[in-house]
Amino acid sequence: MKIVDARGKRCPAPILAAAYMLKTVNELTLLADDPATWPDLQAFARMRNCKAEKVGEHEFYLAKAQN
Amino acid sequence: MVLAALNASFGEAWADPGKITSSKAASYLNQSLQSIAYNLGLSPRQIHVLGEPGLAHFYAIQGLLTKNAHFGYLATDRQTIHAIARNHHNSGGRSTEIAVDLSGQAKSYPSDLDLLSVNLGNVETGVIAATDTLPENAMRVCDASTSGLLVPLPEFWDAAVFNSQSWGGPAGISIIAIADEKKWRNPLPHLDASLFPGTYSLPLFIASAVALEMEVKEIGEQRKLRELSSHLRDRISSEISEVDIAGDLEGSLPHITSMSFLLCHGEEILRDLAKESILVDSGSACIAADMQPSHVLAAMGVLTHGNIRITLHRGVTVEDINELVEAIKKSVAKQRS
Repeated sequence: MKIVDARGKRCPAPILAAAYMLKTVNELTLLADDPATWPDLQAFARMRNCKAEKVGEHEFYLAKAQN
Repeated sequence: MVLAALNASFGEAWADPGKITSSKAASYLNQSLQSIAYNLGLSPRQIHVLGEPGLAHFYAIQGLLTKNAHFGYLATDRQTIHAIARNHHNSGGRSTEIAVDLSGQAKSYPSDLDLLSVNLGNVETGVIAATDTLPENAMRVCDASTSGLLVPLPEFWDAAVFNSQSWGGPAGISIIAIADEKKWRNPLPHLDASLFPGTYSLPLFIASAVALEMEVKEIGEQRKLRELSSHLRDRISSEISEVDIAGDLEGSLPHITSMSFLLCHGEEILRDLAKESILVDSGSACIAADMQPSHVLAAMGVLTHGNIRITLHRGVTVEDINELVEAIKKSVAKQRS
């Protein structure tokens, strides 16, 4: 699975990086330590109809919705 | 007019109204108390003036909170209330943070609350807590410090916090309403039976009373602001994609609107709007001193990045709103391109 490493980057860079990568893949792992990442990833998933999961403290799973 | 009242009262009501030689100051104080109580729909005996607004929520809540009481507060309540809850918990009491849904309303209330914080207008989003679902058995301390005159107190309440700035008065004056003094005790060490320190500025209090009288006379302006807020929300949601507007029009204060644009920097939008001489605020982490996202937006599940908070003031026109919308559209389009 594609890994997007956005550790050390500030909001909204991790979500921007994940959104950009999701144009070319169906699922990805996002590594990010900005405190806004998890609330914003959930909001992103709601708005884009994706699936978001928190896997670890700084590790997240993001996937396009299956039609 | 508020400024004129302030200047005049600094000239005439500077003396300590408690001294026998300052009957003029005592008369001004009494008239102002009567006026504020009347305009807030309260009895003069129920209202108390505090010159330290930063302590107002502490006084109102802590005065009703007994050691083992169960205190409930919304996840979106102001940080001061979170701090009071933590302090209560650390002192052996029970505190429960109540989760909210996407509209900012409580998901459910614990059934055994003794005291509940009720937010009549969130300072960041303008969301007004629905009072028809409040638990009946818990005492209620209402945060009216942002809503002021705009949202009436619920039928049953025990304490309420108002701030003069919410009705256009000067900074530095809070009004605390206590429904039944027998239930409330001064939470700070005190020398006598006085409930509050009384260390507020009388001229500022008089100016607050004048400002409130003016606000009551111009309450029709608030209806205009609601129409403008509706226009703003309609245009933003129909002309810009992927935007989160916190709370709905009917359940929010008319003059505060919080909106977040996906994949945008809040700071960048602020900067672009400032170039057009439009000043707004933001709850995005990139703006906060501690780099933390807004706890209010995060608790609601609303996008925290790309956030701007718009406060509409009296005198704003539909042309101003249209200009604002065009400036936001331009900034968002630039960032997303």
